[in-house]
Amino acid sequence: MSLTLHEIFETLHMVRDAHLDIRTVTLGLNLQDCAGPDPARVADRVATRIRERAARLKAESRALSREYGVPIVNARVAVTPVANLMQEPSEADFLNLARAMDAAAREVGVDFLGGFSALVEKGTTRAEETYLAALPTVLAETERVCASVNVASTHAGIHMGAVARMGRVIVDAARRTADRDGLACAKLVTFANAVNDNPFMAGAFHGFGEPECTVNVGISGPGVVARALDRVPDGDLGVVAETIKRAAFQITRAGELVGRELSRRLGVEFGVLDLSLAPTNTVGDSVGEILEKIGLERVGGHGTTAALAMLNDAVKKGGAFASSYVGGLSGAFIPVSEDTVMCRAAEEGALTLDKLEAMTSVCSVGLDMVAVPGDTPAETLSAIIADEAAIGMINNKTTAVRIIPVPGKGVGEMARFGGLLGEAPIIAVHASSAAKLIRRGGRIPAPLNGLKN
Amino acid sequence: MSGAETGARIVVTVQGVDQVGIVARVTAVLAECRANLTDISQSVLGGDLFVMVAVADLQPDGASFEYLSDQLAALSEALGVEIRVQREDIFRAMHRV
Repeated sequence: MSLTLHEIFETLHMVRDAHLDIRTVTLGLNLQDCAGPDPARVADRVATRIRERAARLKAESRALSREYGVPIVNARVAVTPVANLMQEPSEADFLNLARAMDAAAREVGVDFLGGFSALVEKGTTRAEETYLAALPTVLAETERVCASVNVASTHAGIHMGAVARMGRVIVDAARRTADRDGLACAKLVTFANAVNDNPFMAGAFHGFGEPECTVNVGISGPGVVARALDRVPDGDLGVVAETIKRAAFQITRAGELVGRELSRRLGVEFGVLDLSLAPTNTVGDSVGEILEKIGLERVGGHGTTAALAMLNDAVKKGGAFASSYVGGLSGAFIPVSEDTVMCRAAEEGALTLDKLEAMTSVCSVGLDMVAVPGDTPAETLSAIIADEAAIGMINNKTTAVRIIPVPGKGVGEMARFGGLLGEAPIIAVHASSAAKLIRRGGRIPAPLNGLKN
Repeated sequence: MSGAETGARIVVTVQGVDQVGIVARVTAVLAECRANLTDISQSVLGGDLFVMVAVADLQPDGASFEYLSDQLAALSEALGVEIRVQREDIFRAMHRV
């Protein structure tokens, strides 16, 4: 059956006026066979691998963007978690490795490269100890390398020693980039139940169990959903959910088509499609705006969790129907600094850290791009991470913390990161201390619902 | 750089202020690139908004998608109307189950 004019112009409208885009095509790359005893050679092999396999990524994405008329905003690379690639590494070895990866990313034109990562939910190896010690310097001295550390899972519980450590890593990383409002922390994600095939930065890595090389596609389109909701201003919530689902279906189909074609041209396997409503600073491309359209005066007020739960679920249902291989995080992202409406709500005090935490129990990620006062103690940051990890652990879902204690700034001031990372008002943390909880260390045992066998 | 396979089905859309010769000049570019028209529809809305959709098959011995796209971009500039060319499968994927 031939296409109708309505169908053709609806697609054009989605791209031109509603910011439909493919947010990222992320090339997942296995590095396990780059491991070896000589750290310098490992760094060389890793850089060569990135250069060779990602050489055509940018050019092919650009060509596809043009042919399909749908912008592909970012092309990125995610690699095997690097923490255990080198034998008896020193901190300097990790810094060298990160610099080699940074240079390779620059060469292939990739703005962020994920996978400078470690999975330590049950404990740390000696190499991972060194990795954690090197992490603040690595993040401060490289530009494109993104790190993530998994500290908890439903199956293993919460490794509180690693949680305590991450609080200190974040404080140190912020201090080392004090002149840029703690920018290094924007490249560091602390996870519970991290996924192997998430294409979105800064938390992307190519997990164990993945093939040699794969393309994962992250699609977005809060604008498309918001514009679709304009057409049902007075529908009941069943109608609203259905409208969101339909928009999600269309967005996903566009992403799947482009992702499969890109995999074919690069000669690598197609992995998954991650349909996540990821906001950008562009006006009209906001998750907060969708929530307000559903019926909130301000995102962050009472009712926000309910609206977000419905949004997240409807997005997943539309996506799952449209593609056989939905994976990654798939849901709605709530990065405060990257969402103009959420940013405004935080500035006005309508959106607080506590409400954000509640929201993360029903959406796909966690506390994302949240700026807090520079004098927030490391233990408090660790406690925030522990709370998020607990939500993830108990609910069998991924949660993450990407939080920035902005050096020298306090509540009400703005943190400015520039570019895609945007700017965020600094919001308050609770003053009461959790130092004793954090100092106890050990591991919070896996919950009953992790014992499924 | 590899491109689309030849033989791709494309959709050309034109929107803008009506003027003499839009259809002629767009179809001339398509012909020059050996894109065989299979469907074309146009109308003028509200007195002066010209809207046109053309579906065509880019022949195996025809121009590359990039060349065609560049030619239409140049024409878009010259006429002062918006011309887009996209592969047809994107529309089909988004609107058909």
